[in-house]
Amino acid sequence: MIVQTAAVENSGEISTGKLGIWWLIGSEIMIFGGAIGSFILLRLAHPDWADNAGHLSVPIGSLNTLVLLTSSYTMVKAFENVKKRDRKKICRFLLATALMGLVFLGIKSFEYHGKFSHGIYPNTNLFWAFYFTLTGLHALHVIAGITAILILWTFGLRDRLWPPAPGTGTASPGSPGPGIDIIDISNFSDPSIRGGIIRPNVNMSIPGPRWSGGGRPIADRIELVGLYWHFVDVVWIFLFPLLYLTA
Amino acid sequence: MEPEKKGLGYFAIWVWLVALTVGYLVERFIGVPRHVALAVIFGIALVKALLVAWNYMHLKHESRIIFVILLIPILLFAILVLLLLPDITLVHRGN
Repeated sequence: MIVQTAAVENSGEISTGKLGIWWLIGSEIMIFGGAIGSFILLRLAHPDWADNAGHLSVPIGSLNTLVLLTSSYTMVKAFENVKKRDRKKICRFLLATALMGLVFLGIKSFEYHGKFSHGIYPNTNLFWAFYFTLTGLHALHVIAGITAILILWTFGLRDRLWPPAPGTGTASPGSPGPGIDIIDISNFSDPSIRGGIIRPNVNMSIPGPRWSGGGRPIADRIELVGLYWHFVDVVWIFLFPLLYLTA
Repeated sequence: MEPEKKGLGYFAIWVWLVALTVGYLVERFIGVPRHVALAVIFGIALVKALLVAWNYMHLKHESRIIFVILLIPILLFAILVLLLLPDITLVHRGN
């Protein structure tokens, strides 16, 4: 038996996972901020880059923006259904988000193919070096997001988002599951507590880490992946006008 | 962090985001002066980013530590651009 206070759960403090994802986002701001800042400065120094930007298709870029914005909506709907404990809707929205991420990548690949077929490569000039670097780096983040979303979707399909109900082997909404069992330490008749030391109950059957994320349900990670996905969306919100609309 | 109480809230935000994206295109068709156009374009981008962060990332419900985590890299980004801006705009362009 693992003793864990419910302080974090009940006090409104930030969980370690959420703090970690915000730190990750902070570091990502530095990565993209450095690249975007450099682009802005060089763009100001080179008004002639407008000719290069004119080769980019605004309708296609707009379509990609709409796809990514819609995927953010489906992602936040997946998170909303975590609170409602509606596994089917969670899976549906996660899959929709991942598919829209793939559509985004497909459209971006189409754009890349168009550029390559016209002899435009990253080494063509500095503008295109920035274009391929910024959009390529962003695409890598989209791929990472899709991977994380599909992993969560798989957990959802296998009914592993929440701890299994005792004896049933299926997820039971409301059940805290192992790892977050809270014992009343005032009850010294508990056999797992001897001499004031709380000892693990070796006889307890723990289903393993398949659903458990450090004592928290896998479903909690939908929020974390969602934060990352929305950040990827925010990056594109700035990349689109910078690259496409400054011609 | 709690999700929006009303399901329509997220949808309404999405509608605003789409409308603002269409706003880019409208601005291009109208053909406003370049400096005004750039201000509008990046103003729209900023509003869209804030809408996503505030509502979808639930920043409005987050604690101060999150804002501190985000503010530091944003400040460093601003410093990078602002410190180099005079060099780029005045020196590099030969003024």
